[in-house]
Amino acid sequence: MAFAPSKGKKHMERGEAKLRITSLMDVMTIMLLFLLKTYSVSGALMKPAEGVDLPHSTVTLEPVKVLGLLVTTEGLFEDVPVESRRMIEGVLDLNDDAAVELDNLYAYLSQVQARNRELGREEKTVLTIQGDKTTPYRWILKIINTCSAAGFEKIDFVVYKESKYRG
Amino acid sequence: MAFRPSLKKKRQFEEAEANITPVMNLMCVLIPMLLTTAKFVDLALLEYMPPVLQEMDESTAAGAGEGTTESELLELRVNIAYEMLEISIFNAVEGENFWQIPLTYEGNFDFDAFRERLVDIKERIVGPAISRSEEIDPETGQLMIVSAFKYEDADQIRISAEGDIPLQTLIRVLDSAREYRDSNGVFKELFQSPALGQFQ
Repeated sequence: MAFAPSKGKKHMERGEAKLRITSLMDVMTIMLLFLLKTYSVSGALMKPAEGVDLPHSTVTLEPVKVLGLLVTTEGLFEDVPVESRRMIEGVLDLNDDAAVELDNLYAYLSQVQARNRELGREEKTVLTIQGDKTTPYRWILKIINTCSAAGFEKIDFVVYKESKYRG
Repeated sequence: MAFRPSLKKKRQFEEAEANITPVMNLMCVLIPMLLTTAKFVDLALLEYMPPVLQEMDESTAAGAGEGTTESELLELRVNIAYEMLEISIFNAVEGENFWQIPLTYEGNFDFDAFRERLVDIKERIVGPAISRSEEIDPETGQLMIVSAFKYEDADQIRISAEGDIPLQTLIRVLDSAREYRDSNGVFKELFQSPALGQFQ
């Protein structure tokens, strides 16, 4: 049995349905301001490499992209995207206490400098190291010694910045 | 005489609404663009300059022996051992010149005590600057004030660690030795030129 239409509804005017986007606008405005504040206009940004858990430090110097090395728990690598990453030194060589310097690293750095000379570029004197925070000191010392012997005057460690006002 | 209410008042005004659709469109473009370029981790660089070994040739060696006076050296060293931090001063100091800073109860290195000891060395043994001179930085070309201290190597610290000490511990030691915050909350320099070496 069909019911009779409601008398109350009969005279009800149907208004145009409108989507209320005011609250959405509020959220978007806050997000936009936050993102604009954190937006960096510096040229080449440095990203933490895959497979490396960087140490934390209170230094404030902004990172710049220069020739880089990557020290993971598996060895020493070129600082390039993971798919084209090439190992320079293995764990065995890095752990060898008899060696003060690393032959493969020295050859790699010399090759880089020779390529720069061939292309008429200035020889590099600054190098950055993205080292895992668990990297043992013996590895670090050997890498620094080798880089210094290859003519690099400044070695920069990439770190996560933390506030020096803590504690 | 009271006036009759105006008939115009009965007219209903429609609620005015701003058309924010174009603004929304703009935001829908801007927000994904900014999200992709945002950096959520803040990286920094810790600079290290390996000390340059200066080989003395015959002329400089002869010159050093004649007219120049030998300045005093402090030779401040820090050894990071597995169970403690050791600070030693090799030269030019009378009295206590070796300190050991053991691990905390939690088994961590006591970097606060380490920094306090270095501040004590800086204030008590190194002392204030004897003279200040203005020099131009060869890299930046800016004028900088260079302080001279009683000891020639007053801003240097030699750091060495046992083979398996992790990089994070080394970075913490470098941070602690670089600067400190005094009682007024002002950051002051400690030993700004570290040199890494073999554990002794």
